[in-house]
Amino acid sequence: MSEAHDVSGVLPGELLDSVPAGTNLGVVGPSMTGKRELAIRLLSTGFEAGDGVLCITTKDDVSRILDSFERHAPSLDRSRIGVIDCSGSGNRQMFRAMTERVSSPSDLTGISIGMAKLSQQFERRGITDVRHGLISVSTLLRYLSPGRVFKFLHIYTRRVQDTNGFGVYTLDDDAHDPQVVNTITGQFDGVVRLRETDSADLEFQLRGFGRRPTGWTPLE
Amino acid sequence: MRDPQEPVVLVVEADPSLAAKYERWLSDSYGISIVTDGRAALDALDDTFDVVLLDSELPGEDDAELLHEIRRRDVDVQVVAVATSDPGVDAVEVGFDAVVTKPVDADVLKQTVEDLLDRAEAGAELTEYHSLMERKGQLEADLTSEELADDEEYEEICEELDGLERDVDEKMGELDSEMEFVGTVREVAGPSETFETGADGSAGETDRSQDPAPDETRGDENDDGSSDSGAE
Repeated sequence: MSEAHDVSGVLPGELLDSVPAGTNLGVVGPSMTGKRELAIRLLSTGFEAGDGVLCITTKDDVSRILDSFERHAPSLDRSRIGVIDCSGSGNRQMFRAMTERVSSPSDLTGISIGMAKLSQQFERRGITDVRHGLISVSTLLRYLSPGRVFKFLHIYTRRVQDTNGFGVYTLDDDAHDPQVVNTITGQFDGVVRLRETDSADLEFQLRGFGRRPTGWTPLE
Repeated sequence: MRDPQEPVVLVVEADPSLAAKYERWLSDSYGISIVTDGRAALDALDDTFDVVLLDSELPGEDDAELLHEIRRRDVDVQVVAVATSDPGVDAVEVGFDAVVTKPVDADVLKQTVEDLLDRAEAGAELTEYHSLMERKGQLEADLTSEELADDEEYEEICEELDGLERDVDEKMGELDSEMEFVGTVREVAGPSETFETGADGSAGETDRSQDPAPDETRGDENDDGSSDSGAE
């Protein structure tokens, strides 16, 4: 099992080349600032032989998520991408071994059961380093009380820590009160904040990891 | 530190010699009730119980069905399966909170019950932890980083949070097994009312704490319903 997860090349300037095993990272910004794209890049960069991805998707159905992975990591073996689809999309796909459907984003136990089943499959296949994605926390907050989402995230981030994984969580900061955003992101080791400039370019800021926040930097 | 009110275990066991063993091992620390079949278990089940010990090989009973019925009763209990062999991920899916395999070891059984009771306590402490995190989150929203550095309340909250987090995580235990993870989510973050079917996962939860209509205006869709590649 590796000590760190390689994420070099996702953020410019070598600001975040790797994260220690067990890290939980938030990707936060207003809507339409490329959070999903950044999360998927963080989940799929630097993949090695024993790696896998478990992605919980709350809005986009499994085929859209897989297409996004395809765009950013075309060489990534799809069978290493486990998807927990709670988007409730009516588009019933053919059976796919590494997909678990959950009826609603509010079914946290169902989501965790889906996660457990896919984890078991990974273990059987010798895939030991798992990156976890939750796209997005905001959908959970639309369905459930902040308290329940908070507790779920606490358990989930602990699970990522205890299994030496790497977790990436997206959150719309324009959909919630600043207090809610702070409460949620307070559980992460670090946060990448995104924003759009007046000229429609994207900038990011890296916070946490025991360091001073960086300045706003173009995402390129 | 346990609540003065002694935790209570419902033992569902048809074999009297096994039932007697469990009683011997557990009655020092817990209140015990023993029933011999599923019907009696469902009749006896109420909020006074904290843990149910369910023999997976009760004659003429389907343990998954029985567990489903227990969950439908909407009683806040955690359920341990006592099984001949480790059922693996199926037990997770069916919805047991823990499994002990026969022949049952006294220490394993006691530790399992203890861990489940800790998990329930972790849930209560997590509520407190969340409240404090909310207070911290509010201060961070209201004050600049310079002001926060000088704010006594903020400093106190951060210290208290450290201690609380340690308590919670100690009670929750390691979450490296699938069953521990799912069981913890169910116990700590699950709804107060549920109609989970477990095995096929088709039923959603009925908890709608905020009861909003889900927000239909998705940030990642253009007006014509198409989506920008990757933009969210």
